Amino acid sequence: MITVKNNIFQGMIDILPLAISVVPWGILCGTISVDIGFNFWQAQAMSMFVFAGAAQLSAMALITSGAGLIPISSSVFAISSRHLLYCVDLRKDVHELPLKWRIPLAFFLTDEVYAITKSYIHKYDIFSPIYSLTAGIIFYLIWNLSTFAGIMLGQNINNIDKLGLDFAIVAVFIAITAPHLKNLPMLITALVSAISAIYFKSIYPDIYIVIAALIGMTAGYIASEIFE
Amino acid sequence: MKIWLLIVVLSMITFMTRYIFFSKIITYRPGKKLKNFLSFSAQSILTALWVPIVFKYHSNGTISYTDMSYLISTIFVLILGIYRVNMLLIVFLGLSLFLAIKFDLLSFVF
Repeated sequence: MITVKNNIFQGMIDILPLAISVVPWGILCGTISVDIGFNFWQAQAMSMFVFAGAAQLSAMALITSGAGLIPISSSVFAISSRHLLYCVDLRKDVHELPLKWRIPLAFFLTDEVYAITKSYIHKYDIFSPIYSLTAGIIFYLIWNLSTFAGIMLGQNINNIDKLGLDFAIVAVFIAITAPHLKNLPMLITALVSAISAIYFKSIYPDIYIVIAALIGMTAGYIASEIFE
Repeated sequence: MKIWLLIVVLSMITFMTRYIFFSKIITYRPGKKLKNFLSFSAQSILTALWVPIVFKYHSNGTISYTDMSYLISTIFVLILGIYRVNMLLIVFLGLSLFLAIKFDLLSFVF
């Protein structure tokens, strides 16, 4: 029998390596938000409430390029749409729980928390709300602390963009996507999306990410229907 | 732009994508085809985000590499990524190479 105490402890242990690996990313988010003109609370609020690394970074990249509310929101929706999959996947385990459980479980449902939740279910054949919630809270605290560190860094160093922070974004995104390139539909998705992004950036600088993403997804979808 | 408004809107978007199917009101569930389509979203969007950072645009409409530091480091990081090197290590090594080329520490090689 797995006890509540064990679940809390194991949630902490399991999320820790994943949480630590996003520390540089959190620092980056904090530093860049200061760099583009956010004040302390605005920069921290991004991590406290939006709480989504890829979405935060791309929102800031778009603000820099002068995009408005609608293009930024639609890009962030497109980026976050993968969470719809996690949400629908965990639905059968979560949707009978009371609202006071469903709201925090949803709020903390990041890529990392989803990943360890799935391996927990795989291992014990049961969903543990307390395990996932503990992992989510730990992840949230580390994410926000690293954002805080990034803000402090950003407020005290000038010309941070010269330190190659934009390349750090490139490296993080490649690290996430490259392992999938061995899968043919995923490779096609990436190639089509890359070419579309380069092409549409010069024509529609505001919404090229959403256009390129949709074209890439469509290409990947068609490829998977053909090859699988 | 009103930064606070943006933060509120983005917070609602990210929360809704994580909550919507936990809701008891929403009975709709995406079918197999829509799920398959959505499974390509992260790959597609993250690629669309990083690729344009590596390239720059000239006023005459041609596209070129911003500079060699981006191109070489990008290829390096891609190779590490394909071989599933740990993410933290990829970022560290990639950024080190990028800065080394940018600040001419490797001028004897390139």
